Amino acid sequence: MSTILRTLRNLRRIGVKDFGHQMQNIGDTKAGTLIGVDRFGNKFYENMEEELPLRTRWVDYKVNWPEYNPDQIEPGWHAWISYMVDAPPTADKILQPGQRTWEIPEHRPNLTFTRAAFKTYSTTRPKYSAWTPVAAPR
Amino acid sequence: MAASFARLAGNAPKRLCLRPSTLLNTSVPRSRSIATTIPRRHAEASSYQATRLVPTDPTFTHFANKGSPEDPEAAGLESEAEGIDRKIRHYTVNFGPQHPAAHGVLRLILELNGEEIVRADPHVGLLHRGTEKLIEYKTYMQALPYFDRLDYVSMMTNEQCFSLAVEKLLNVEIPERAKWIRTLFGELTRVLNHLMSVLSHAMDVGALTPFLWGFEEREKLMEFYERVSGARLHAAYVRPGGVSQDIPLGLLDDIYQWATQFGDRIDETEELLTDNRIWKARTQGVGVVNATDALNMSFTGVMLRGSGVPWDIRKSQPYDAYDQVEFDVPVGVNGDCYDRYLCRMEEFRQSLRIIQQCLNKMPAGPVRVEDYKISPPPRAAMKENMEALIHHFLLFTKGYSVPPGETYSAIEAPKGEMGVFLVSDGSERPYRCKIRAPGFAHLGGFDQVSRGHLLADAVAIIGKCLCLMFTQTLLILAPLGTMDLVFGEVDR
Amino acid sequence: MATSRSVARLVAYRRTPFLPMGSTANFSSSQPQRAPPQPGFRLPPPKRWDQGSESSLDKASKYFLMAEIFRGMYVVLEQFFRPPYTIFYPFEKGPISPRFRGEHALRRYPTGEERCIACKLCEAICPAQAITIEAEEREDGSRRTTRYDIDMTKCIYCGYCQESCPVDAIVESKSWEPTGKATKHYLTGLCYATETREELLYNKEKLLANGDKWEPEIAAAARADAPYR
Repeated sequence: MSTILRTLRNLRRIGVKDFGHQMQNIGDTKAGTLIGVDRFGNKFYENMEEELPLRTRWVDYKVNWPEYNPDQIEPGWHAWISYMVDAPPTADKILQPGQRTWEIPEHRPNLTFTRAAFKTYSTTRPKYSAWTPVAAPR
Repeated sequence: MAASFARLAGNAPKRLCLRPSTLLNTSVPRSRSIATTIPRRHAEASSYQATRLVPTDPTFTHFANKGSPEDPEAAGLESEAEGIDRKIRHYTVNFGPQHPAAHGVLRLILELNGEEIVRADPHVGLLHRGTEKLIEYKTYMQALPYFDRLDYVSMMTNEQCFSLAVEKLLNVEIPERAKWIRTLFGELTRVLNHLMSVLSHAMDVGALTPFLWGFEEREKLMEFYERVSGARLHAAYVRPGGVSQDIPLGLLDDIYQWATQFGDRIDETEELLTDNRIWKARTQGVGVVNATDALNMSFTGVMLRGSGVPWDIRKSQPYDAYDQVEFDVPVGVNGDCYDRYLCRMEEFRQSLRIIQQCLNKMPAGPVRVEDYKISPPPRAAMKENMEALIHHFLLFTKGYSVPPGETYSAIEAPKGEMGVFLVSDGSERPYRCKIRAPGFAHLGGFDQVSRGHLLADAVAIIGKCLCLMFTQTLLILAPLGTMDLVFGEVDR
Repeated sequence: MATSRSVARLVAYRRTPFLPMGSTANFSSSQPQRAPPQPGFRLPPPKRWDQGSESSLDKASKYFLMAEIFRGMYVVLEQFFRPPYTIFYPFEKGPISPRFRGEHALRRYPTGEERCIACKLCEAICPAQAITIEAEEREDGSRRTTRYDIDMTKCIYCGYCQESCPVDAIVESKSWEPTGKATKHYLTGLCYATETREELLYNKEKLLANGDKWEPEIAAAARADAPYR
């Protein structure tokens, strides 16, 4: 709820720089504790006491409007910010990246609209091959 | 003096056209109507005044000009022979399928005399997906997700209907807990559906605000759906033999919390609508269906109860746990849109009552039949036990065979009687699956119900058609604005 | 309010607690049919304008002062002072449960070995026939898929594939995010929206990459849902 008092209170808490940053991106001011930062650089905050239900966890994207995108959130943090788990990835080993040797080393967002977008292909050997006619020498 | 004031004050604002519409008595040329009877004639409640058209003479000379000295030029025109024999054709309007008030893909061919509907011809099939035929080629388990997509505003009751039919053929009794879970979610679904139908009806006649409140509640309900099944709409949760998974811990607490505050939301909506003169003017006396016609046109659900016929399958042939819960069935008096609205509002409260009872009485125990030939074994068993693994494989490839026979099992879906006629030839796939969608019958009666009304009332009558068209079947949500049509169900 | 309530008065049905299915329906009341209808079973005809107890002055003032409309508008005004239910997506997100069924992924064993053994149960159960599997013997003699295609445009997200999988290889992950440039897909709820339709024809590599990406969340969901499966 964006009341004037709340906005002023949060301005006092987070300072002018963050205030401007939040107004430019979220369009609302929020003050909370920093829970963690994911590999992409997004910062995750929580304020369980003062915020309304479902507004208690939020993300401060690394990039500014309009480049930010929810697919930049890492899977573990995605679970946390969607209220699927209680403990953040910093406290829960199963949600942390880098625990498995075969993982992709970096976070990969949705690459559609770029040249790296997924393009489907067949993973099997072709079952037939085209016939190339060869003319026997006469 | 006082009496004339009271007359002014006592009734809702009058429409411009005050006399009851009887097309038979007017000199307006009538075109062929689809139905040969005009049931509305007998249905008019004496306390309301239905919309009527002021007859004009065929030359369209305005009444106001009648007595005035004639304009010599106009009189000259009138006297011309072609002006006297002039014939007027009704204006035909194609309403939908992309009209926002058509709530989906309802297409109506309306024949209008001025603004009065002379004939309404609903065209269905724009959302036809061949569900019934597809089901004949699917195993019973695979057929289940198709039912979500019939009436996509009341998903779980559709699944429940199919599951009950299959269980009847299989002759299995599902565990108590599964029955209560089904009842609980059946009622949540009823609230979900009525929120859509009542409030989108209100939106169609101009009250946008309660619609937004209703969607907030729908959002919460869909979160419950999501927590229990994994999908917000197409749950695939109720299965033949029980439900697919147990309720997660804490969900019942949250449903209780929701139920404690939902009564206030109903009160607010009622405060805004029930006494409101605009709402009354738009709904009272509109879409009147008398009991005989409602029965003859095979209306069910609120469309039938609103006309004064006490008929509820939950009472007459209780299924699942409905015989163990206490609730009342609201019945209307006048059979118009307003009474159907009141019935729906009361059904909200009765649903809340059932939900509270379900929360209190929810027993412990299994949620699926423990017959591995019908319901898949738990995953732990499947991973250790060879026999369970074989059952698992058989269930997910071949399916289970159902003894030969046929059944018609019906439930009281939020829109009316939802029935599944299932014929089994003893194989794993149904031989025939006929879906009796309540919305289809309601839409079929649209011509009779809407005839003589103004064009704007058609929307009020279709009202609940909103959801009909979203997905794939013919679902007609509501009763003419209160018909509650959802096209997924109607078109199937 | 009172007047409308009287119109809406209900017919109460009190029944004995249990009646077997198929027993004769008694819709009118819970009493045996021979008994006279209980009071209130049939409503009296609605009161006409001149039969009410309210004085004409009351009615006139209510009518001209639009009493009921202002009552309704007051309810609307109350709403103005209540906390809103909206959230600031994409900075805050709505809740999803561990059972959520979103974009598909193929999982691996902790060693990095792919789980899928090409038993084709998911292909068999898929109601939309969206899955295509081909299998061959691998060099080390194990049976693995060479083709695992899911046509995400056909998929109906019923969750049968993950239910059927005996080795928990195919799962529906919690991913449903749109990209910012195609946010209209947000409305549909389960699209990792793409620019072209072609991008939704997933093959085995894409599904495995999904699994590699989403494994932390998939594992957490499996842990949370394990007691119920």
